[in-house]
Amino acid sequence: MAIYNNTRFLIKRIIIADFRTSLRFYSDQIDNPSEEQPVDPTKDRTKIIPLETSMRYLESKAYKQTYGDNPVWTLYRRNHKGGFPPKKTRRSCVRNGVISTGNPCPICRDEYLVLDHRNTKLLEQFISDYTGQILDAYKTGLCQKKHKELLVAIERAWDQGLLTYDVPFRKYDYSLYNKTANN
Amino acid sequence: MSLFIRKLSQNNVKHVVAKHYESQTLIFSSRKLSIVPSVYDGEKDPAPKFFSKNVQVLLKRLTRPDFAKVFRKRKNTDLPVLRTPIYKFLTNEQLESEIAKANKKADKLLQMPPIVKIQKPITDVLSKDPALVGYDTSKFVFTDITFGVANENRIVVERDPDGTLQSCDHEIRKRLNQVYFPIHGRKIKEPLMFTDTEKFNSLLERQEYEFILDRACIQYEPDEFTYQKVTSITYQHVDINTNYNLLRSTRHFGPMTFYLTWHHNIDNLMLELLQSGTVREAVLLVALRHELQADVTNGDVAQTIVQQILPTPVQLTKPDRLTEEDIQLDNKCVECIEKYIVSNSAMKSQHELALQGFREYYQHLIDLSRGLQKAHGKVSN
Ligand SMILES: [Zn+2]
Repeated sequence: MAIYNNTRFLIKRIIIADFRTSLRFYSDQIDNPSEEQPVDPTKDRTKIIPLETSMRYLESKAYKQTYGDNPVWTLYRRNHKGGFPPKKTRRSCVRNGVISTGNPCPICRDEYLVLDHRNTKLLEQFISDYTGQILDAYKTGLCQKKHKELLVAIERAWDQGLLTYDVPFRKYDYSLYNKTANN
Repeated sequence: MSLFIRKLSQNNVKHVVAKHYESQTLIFSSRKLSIVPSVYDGEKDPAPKFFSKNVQVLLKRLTRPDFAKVFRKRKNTDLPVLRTPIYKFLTNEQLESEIAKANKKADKLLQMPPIVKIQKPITDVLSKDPALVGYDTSKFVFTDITFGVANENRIVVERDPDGTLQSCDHEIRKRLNQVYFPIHGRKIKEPLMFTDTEKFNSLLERQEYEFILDRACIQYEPDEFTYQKVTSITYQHVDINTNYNLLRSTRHFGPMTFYLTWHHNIDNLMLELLQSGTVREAVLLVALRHELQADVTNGDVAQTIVQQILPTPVQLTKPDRLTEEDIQLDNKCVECIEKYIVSNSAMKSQHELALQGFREYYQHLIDLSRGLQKAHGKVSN
């Protein structure tokens, strides 16, 4: 009898305990994000900014106040140990939709700068005034991911004539076209 | 404005009648107006006229080359390191030889893209081998990549699955030439700015004429239909909006003038020349028209005056002092233009008005320079 009572008591406790853990389990899952890792809204990059907003931003007073007439990368400095920066910039500034570094690159740090072939005002800041070539990431400090996006956007803009450039000179050999002179 | 529309509609009617059957695909609709391109596909071949020495000289002179613009800093040299300019002291002989060098260089940079008749499709069957029917499901293309053969003369042939051996058409030739002997700047796939009407029109509206024409030169051959279509639309856009100055001092001004003259459409350009007070160039234009169309009554007079104009330096700015020879020459020019307006002009009243404006301005200039000469004690009469 005593054993029976004991076992019944035990079973009850187990059931209760089980119930409790399950309860705790569910409540844990609900509480977890709000308690431990609140995402800083300034570091959240999950929101997609439409291109039109970005183009309006580039014309706006706020942009002017932030960057003045300089390209967006002018005042950016990379963090690195030693006297010489590494040849390659970091792979990406954003992981899982959140800025994962304390010093994100010029494009990642400002979420309203959208790389797109129509956003010519932004793209032309990354083309050299002297040679017409695209500036290297070593100079501009863009992370590899954004730099690749930049190359695609500029190539598209050139193809579609949104950005113009100095076309290579073509020399014609008149003797190929002037057929009457040969005959 | 009303005159513009009248002129346009005249043109359009002419072209639509000429090529009614393909006007559907040709019309490039813009927001404001639709430009109908006209290509060199008539009976007459423009090439002999274009390459003749007289026409070349006239076109080059009409370009009014300004060396500041011809030798502007270009960003298409693929040099990673920029060279600094060199400053030197030179003797007179050295300076002359340097100037001659610069002239030669400018002449190269201003080489006009050739104007030729539109190409004919190549249908040249070399052999038919019925034994080879069905030997494969796709055709084979053979290219002769011998060194030193021009792209235009290269042998490119194809063997079809039905056993025919024939020369390839222009499209395939161009693609294979680009594969084996790439032209720097040319794409195998046509750039979207030429294929997409909206993007092309946006470029025209931004007045990027030089970019369009330069890129068309690289991307297409001068006898291609697309090249002639693109350039024709651009030239007409320049003509309608009187943006001639954007093309002056570039290699494209000559072909544009040739195009306008060939298609009987020089009145707007003539008006611009008269309004800007360059009567000498107006006479050159008359001579060019006589050379190409031979429908000017006093064409011979214009041609004799041209011989006197050519040795004089190019007038980049309005002169502020005149010599007696200048005055004589300009008076001859004005007389010639007067006759031209009476006999051949389609915009008589506007041309008259512009010429009258020039005469008044010129009389003022003559008085001024003669007064100056008197003040210096050099009285000629
Ligand atoms: Zn980044």
